[in-house]
Amino acid sequence: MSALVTIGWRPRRRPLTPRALAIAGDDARRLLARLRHDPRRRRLRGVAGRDLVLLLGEADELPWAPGVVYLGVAPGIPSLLLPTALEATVPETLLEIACRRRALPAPVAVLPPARGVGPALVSVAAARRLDDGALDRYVTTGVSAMKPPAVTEPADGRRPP
Amino acid sequence: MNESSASAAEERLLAPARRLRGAVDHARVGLIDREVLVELVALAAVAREHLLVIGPPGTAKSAAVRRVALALGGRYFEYLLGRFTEPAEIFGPIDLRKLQEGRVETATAGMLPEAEIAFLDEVFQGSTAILNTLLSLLNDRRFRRGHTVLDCPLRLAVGAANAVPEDPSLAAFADRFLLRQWVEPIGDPLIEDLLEGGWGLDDSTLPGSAASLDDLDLLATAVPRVALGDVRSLLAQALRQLRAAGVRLSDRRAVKSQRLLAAAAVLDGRLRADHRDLWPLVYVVPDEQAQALAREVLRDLLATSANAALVNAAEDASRGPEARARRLAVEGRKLLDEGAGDDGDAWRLKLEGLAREIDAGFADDHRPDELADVYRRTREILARDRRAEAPG
Repeated sequence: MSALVTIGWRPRRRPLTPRALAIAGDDARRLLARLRHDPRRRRLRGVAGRDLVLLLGEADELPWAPGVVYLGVAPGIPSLLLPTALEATVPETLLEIACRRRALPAPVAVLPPARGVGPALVSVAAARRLDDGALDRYVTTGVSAMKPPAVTEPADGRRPP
Repeated sequence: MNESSASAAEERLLAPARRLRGAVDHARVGLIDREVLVELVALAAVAREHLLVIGPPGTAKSAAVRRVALALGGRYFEYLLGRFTEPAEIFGPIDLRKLQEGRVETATAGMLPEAEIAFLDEVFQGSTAILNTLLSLLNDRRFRRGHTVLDCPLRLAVGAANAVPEDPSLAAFADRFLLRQWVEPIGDPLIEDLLEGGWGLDDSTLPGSAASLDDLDLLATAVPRVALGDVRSLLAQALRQLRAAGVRLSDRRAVKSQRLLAAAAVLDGRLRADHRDLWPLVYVVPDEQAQALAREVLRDLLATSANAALVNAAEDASRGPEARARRLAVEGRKLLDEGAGDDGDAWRLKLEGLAREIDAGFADDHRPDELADVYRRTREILARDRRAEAPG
């Protein structure tokens, strides 16, 4: 039996530099449809589940779309992608330890309950380049042709989406 | 000063403060990642204090100062000091005609004693003779050499160096520069911007500015009249917190820092300094690592820092959400007002970048009102353009 810890979130005083984004549902499909015609897609890597997409890239290359949640790396916690504008109410180093104990391949995106993307822990270790075929299939069928995340697990212990 | 006369006095500041803000904007054109430096030049000038910029050669230190001087129309003097620089190269040659009359006077025309804004590169390389004369010039705005005693019109001197000197004999001279700013070469992400900004842009192509030295002088004369009652206790608390963290400012620096707080208020259009104006204290800390520590130690006290004219410097000092929101709101309004122009795609990319920075920096329920409006307008334009692009 595992102990459940409720993670609260509060505004982060100094935002992290974006290194990834998470986006869900129809917002995700619309973003990927747009990226089909955007040269930036060649400089992005991604993973996707049925209703969740995570894209990784340099801050200037990450697209903006309604519903996006940006993620970054906090100093001293290189294996987690944390919300850039929110920080957890538990020490984030403990989150890192918890992810390691769950054998989630790093880096792990810690998604807050915001804009429909979380709460969830999502490994992005298998992220790969966005190829046109994968984007087309995701947009038209909603089925991920990008590598699915290794484990998806809610940060607060509830069942995954 | 009663309320109505205070309001009238503040009203009289608004126009020159706005023009000086415009001058700062003009001075920034073409300079990449030097917004804070340009703003600190303006702050120092209004406070009638001097600024020391530390960084390697070729990092646009002199360009920032020259731009402000050009924007204000001041008499500008710039020189690179070396170990063998003669005093005459800075202050002017001995007047030979007067010498024949038995008087040792200096011909100062076009030289530092007649400059209104000065930039001295490698300032600590000067000889003892030069630095001793400079000490008096910076401190009292008086030039003394031989029989020459001149009141100097110097508003601001900016010194530059690769490093702060460790020689204790230079400490007194270095202390004349109340503000300190460290600059580094442009980082990798901004290299393209650097190349684009620098190409084909020289000082002669700078757009004209409506500000003048009269505006600067008007604002500077307002500084001693600023009410510091609301901020003095915060300043004292900040100084104690810095001491507790091992960051000790000299009594002189502590007292003089009040001029910077007052100048920040004036540039923000106010004659009453408050919690928004504490941020210049960070730049009074004379050591680079200590400045970084000061930002951490004073994090809570600086959280509400903001300044309409010096948006980047206020944010850089405080790293606080209010200052960041103010900067984004100012930049966002400017971008929205510019419109698409001839290059709609580039404009939309910039709008997207703005939306990204707002979303990355502020959670949904914690976006300040002035930023919320910019965000809403940006989203509307991006959504409208996407609907227009969508097939069928």
